[in-house]
Amino acid sequence: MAAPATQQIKIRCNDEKEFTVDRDVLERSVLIKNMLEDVTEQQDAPIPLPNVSGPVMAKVLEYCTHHRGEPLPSADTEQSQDETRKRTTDISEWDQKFITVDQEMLFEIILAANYLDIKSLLDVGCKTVANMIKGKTPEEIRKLFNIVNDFTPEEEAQIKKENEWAEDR
Amino acid sequence: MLLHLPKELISLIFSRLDGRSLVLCQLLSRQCSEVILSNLQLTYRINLFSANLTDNPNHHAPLIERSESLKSFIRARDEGNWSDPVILDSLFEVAHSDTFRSLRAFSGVLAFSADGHFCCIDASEVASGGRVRRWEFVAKFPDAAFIFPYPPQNLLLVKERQPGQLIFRPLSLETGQDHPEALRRSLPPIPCPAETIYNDYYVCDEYLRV
Repeated sequence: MAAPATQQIKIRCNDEKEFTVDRDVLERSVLIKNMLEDVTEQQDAPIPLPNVSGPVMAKVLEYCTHHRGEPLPSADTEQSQDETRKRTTDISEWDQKFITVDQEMLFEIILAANYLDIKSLLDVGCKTVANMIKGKTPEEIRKLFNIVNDFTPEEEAQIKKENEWAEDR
Repeated sequence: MLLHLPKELISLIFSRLDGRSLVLCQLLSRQCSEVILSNLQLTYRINLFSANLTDNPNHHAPLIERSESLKSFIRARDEGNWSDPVILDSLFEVAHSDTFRSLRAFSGVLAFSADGHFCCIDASEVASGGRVRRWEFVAKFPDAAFIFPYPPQNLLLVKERQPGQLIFRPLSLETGQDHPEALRRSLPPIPCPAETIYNDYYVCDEYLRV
């Protein structure tokens, strides 16, 4: 048997769903990359991923496959948080399409990206939610995300008073 | 569902928001408010927004320092505390251009003309095209030395450069005459050697409340 061009890795999600994936695709996840680096011998047992379900992993793998080969962001590219903030709205066309999912899946992807340590995907997810918030009134945001206003009327009035100028700017 | 995320992730999402959106997010629920108030970066952004200021992108002061300076600025502003001026110099940085030596300020851009006159332009005004109005104003009152940037709608002005010192004299933007409030008070001349003038940035917001 000829040696495969890329090593295949097996992973198992929390719903027993298994995937066999090229190693370089999986290594978009810093968590898995580090795991693989720690293992020197070839292992046949799938890597268990107890925090991710099959459907979410399928989505994450779609992302990783599309972005395979791109350089991983290093720790220092994080630098100024303000820099990242300025780029809030630019999500590439492919990513935009990819992240057009229902809210539940969107938050699952964010959780998975955080757990698997895939910075660029976490970034896309956070930007997407931020973009959903922008330009909306508090009432609209509450409705969108099912948030219950648990302030007392007095507290709410107080915060509004402190921020009254914000509404009309 | 948003609020089912761990706090750090909610914080991360909020960190993609501008000051205005953050202010509104504070109003959503207690949990949202707590997430924002427990994060220095987010509260700093809200404070900047409420003070109508923008960050100086060229300054590398740590967040904690910026935040403290901003708080003292806001405190002085709210108290109208002209007699105890707050100096924001640590957040300024000098840049150069052809006709003006421009100074990036915490709150916008300070521009210096070759003859030592300068004016301060609010950054948000620059973005919205308000700059022209400011420059016209400067052209109209060529001896106006200093335009105080906050708040834009009550722009206020100061002038009169003596050798080795500046005398602040508020003018009304509307009329170009002495600000009515300024006539009731006399401001002491503030010694300002030309080279270091921009290191002392005084808050005279009390006069801005028309």
